[in-house]
Amino acid sequence: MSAIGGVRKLGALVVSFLMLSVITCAQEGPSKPSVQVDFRIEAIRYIGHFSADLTALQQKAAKRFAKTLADRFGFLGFTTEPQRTKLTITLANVSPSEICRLDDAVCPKETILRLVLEQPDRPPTSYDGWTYLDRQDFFVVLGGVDEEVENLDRVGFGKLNVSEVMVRIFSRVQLTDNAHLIWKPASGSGSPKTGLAGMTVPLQANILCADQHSVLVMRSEFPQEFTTSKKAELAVDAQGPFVPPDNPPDDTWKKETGNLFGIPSADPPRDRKWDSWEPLSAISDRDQIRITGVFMYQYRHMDTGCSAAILPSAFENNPGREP
Amino acid sequence: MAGPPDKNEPLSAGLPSVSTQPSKPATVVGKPLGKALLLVSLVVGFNSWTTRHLGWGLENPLGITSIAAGLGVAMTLAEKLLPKDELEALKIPLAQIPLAILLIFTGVFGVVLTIRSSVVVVSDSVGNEIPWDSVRLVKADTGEDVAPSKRDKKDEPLRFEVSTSPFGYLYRLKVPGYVEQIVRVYPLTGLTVIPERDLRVSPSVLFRPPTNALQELTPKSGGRFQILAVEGARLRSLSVACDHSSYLFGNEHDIPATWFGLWDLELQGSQISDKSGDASATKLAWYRHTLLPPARDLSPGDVLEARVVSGGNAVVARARIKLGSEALKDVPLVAATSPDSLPKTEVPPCPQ
Repeated sequence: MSAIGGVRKLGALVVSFLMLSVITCAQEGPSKPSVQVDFRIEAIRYIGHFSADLTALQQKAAKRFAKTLADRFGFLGFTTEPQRTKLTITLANVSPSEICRLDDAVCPKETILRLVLEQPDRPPTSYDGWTYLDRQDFFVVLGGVDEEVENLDRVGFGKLNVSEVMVRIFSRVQLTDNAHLIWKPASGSGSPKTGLAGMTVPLQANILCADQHSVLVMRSEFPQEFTTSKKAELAVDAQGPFVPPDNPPDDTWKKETGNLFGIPSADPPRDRKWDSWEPLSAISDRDQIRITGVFMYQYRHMDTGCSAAILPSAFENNPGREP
Repeated sequence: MAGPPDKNEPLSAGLPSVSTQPSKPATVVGKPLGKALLLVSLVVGFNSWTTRHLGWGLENPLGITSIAAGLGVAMTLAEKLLPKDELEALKIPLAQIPLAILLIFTGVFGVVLTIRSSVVVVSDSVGNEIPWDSVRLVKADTGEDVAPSKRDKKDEPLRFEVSTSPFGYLYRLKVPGYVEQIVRVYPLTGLTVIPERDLRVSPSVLFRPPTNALQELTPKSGGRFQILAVEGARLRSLSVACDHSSYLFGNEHDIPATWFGLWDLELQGSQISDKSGDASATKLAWYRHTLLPPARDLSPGDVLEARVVSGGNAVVARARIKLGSEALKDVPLVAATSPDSLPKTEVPPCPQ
C-alpha cells in the first residue's frame, strides 16, 4: 500500500516538474538586462558597529537594494546573482578636509551611497551624489542588522535623486543592441514616400515597464556624403507596447507586437545635447541605417502595472516625419 | 601622729625599712630611695607603655597622681585609726624587696620595650568611616599577617601589636582607599597613622569614551565597556558595564572644573560641533560618570586597559594606562581606525 502511494507521489512530482519546465520554456524570450547588485560597507562607524555581522548586513542590504531598485527602475533586472553588468553600492564616508581622515570615527563626515557600474568592455562609471546621512547625523545610533537594512532602504531611497542616477548610471546600461525602425507611408500625399513613424525595441513593453514620458537613447550609424558614417544619439519618447493596425503596410510590424514603441522626441531633455532626427529620416536607403544600441535615459514607471497598451489610433496623431 | 624626725635620727626611720646598720648610714638611706625611685619609674614606664602600645593602663599622669594622693590619704587615716603594731604590719617593707628582683623586672621590661611596639590607625574625623575590617598590616619580609586588636567601640582606633627591634621593623600597611605603604615601626614610640594625612589616596581613573563609542553604549546599539588588568602579555577582565557615560574606576571623586575646558578643546579638535547637540551630549555623558569600584584598590604601577566593544564585537575605542601617583587621572579612549573583531566569548555580557 505504501509502495503504491510512493510511486504515485513520485509520478505527480515528475509531472509537476515537466509542466513547470514547459511553462518556463514558454516564457523564455528576450529579457531585459540584468544587473548584479553588490553592497559594500566602508563607512568607519558601520564597520566598527557591525564587525562580525558585516557580511550578513552586506548580503541582506544587497538583496533589499536589488528589490527596491527593481521596483524603482523596472526596465532593468536587479539580482544579487553574478551578472555581466555589476552595480556596486558602497556605504562610504566623504571626508570634508584632510585633517578629518576617513578612518577617523570621531570626526563627523557625510555618509554616502556610492554607485559604481561595471560593464564588460566599458570603463566603470561612478556616482557619489547619493547622500545617505548628512555630516550632523554622523553619530546616529546604530541598531541591529535588520533594522539598519530597513534604514538604508527607507532613508536611502528617500534621498535618492532618481533622474540624476538615471542619467549618470542607468542610462549607461544598454537595453538592446538593435531596434526596429517603423516607417509608414506619408499620409495624404499618394506618393510612395514613407516617413519615420518611430522605433520598436525588441523587448516587450510590459517587461521594460516604461510608461509614456520615458525617454530612450537610440545610438545609430548612417552614411553621409563625402565622409564616413555618422554616429548619432537620438532621443526617443517611449509610447508603450506596439500594437500594429489590422492591415500593416509592413509585414515585419506583426513581429513587433507588444514591444516597446517610441517616437522621435520633439522636445528631448535639455540636460544634454542630442542629435537631430532629420539626417536619419532623410536616408533613402534604410538598410544603411545601423542601430547600435538603445538605452533608457529618462524613466517613468508604468503606473498600470506594466501592461498598458496604446491604441492603433495613436498612429493617427503621429503622421511621421517626411523625408 | 608622728612628729618631725630628729636630726640625729636616720632618714630611713620613716620608711618601711628594717635595715638599721649604724656603720653605713648613707647606704642604708640610699638603697631604699633608689629602690623606690626604680619602682616608681618602673610603674610609670610600664603604665605609659601599656597605654601607648596595648591601649590599656592609667591614661594620664593625673591618674597616677590621684592614686598616689589617695594612697597618701589612706596611709594618714590608717596611722590615725589603726593600732601601731597593725600599722607596722601593713607597711610594705620596701627595703626587703630584693634589688635583684627589681633589676630583673626592669631588665625584662627593657627587653619588652625594645622588641614590642604597636601601629595605631586612626581616622581624622568621625564622619570619615574607614572599613576597619579591611585594614591590613603584614610583615614586609615574610608577608605574615598581623592580627589587629579587638575594638570595643566604633570610634576606637585600630591597634596592631607588633614585634620590632631597636632599629625598627618594616611592615606593609594597607588601608582601603589608600595606597599600600611600607612603614618602619620603632620600639617605644610605635607608629600612629592617620590615613588622610599620612597615606596617599589610591589612584582612580576617569575613562572617557569618544563620541562614536558613547553611541555604541546606548541600549539599542548593544555595546559594552570593559576594563582589563594588563598582567604581562595577559589581560584579565576587571569590570564590564553598559552605560552611556564615562567611567570612574576607583574611588568617588569630584571632577575638577578645569577639565571641562580641556574637554571642549578636545571636541573642537575633533570637529564635533554642537549643531546637532553632539558636543553637549558628549560632555554631559563624560560629566555624569558611572562609578566602577574595583575589587581591590588600584596602586601606582598597575596597568589598565579600557575598551568599548560594539554590538558586533569589535573594539571601537581603547586606551591603556600605567597608573602613577595622581589621585585622579583623566584618560580619553582613542577611536580605532580599523576596529578589531573579538571572539564572542571574550567580553562578558552586560551586568543586569
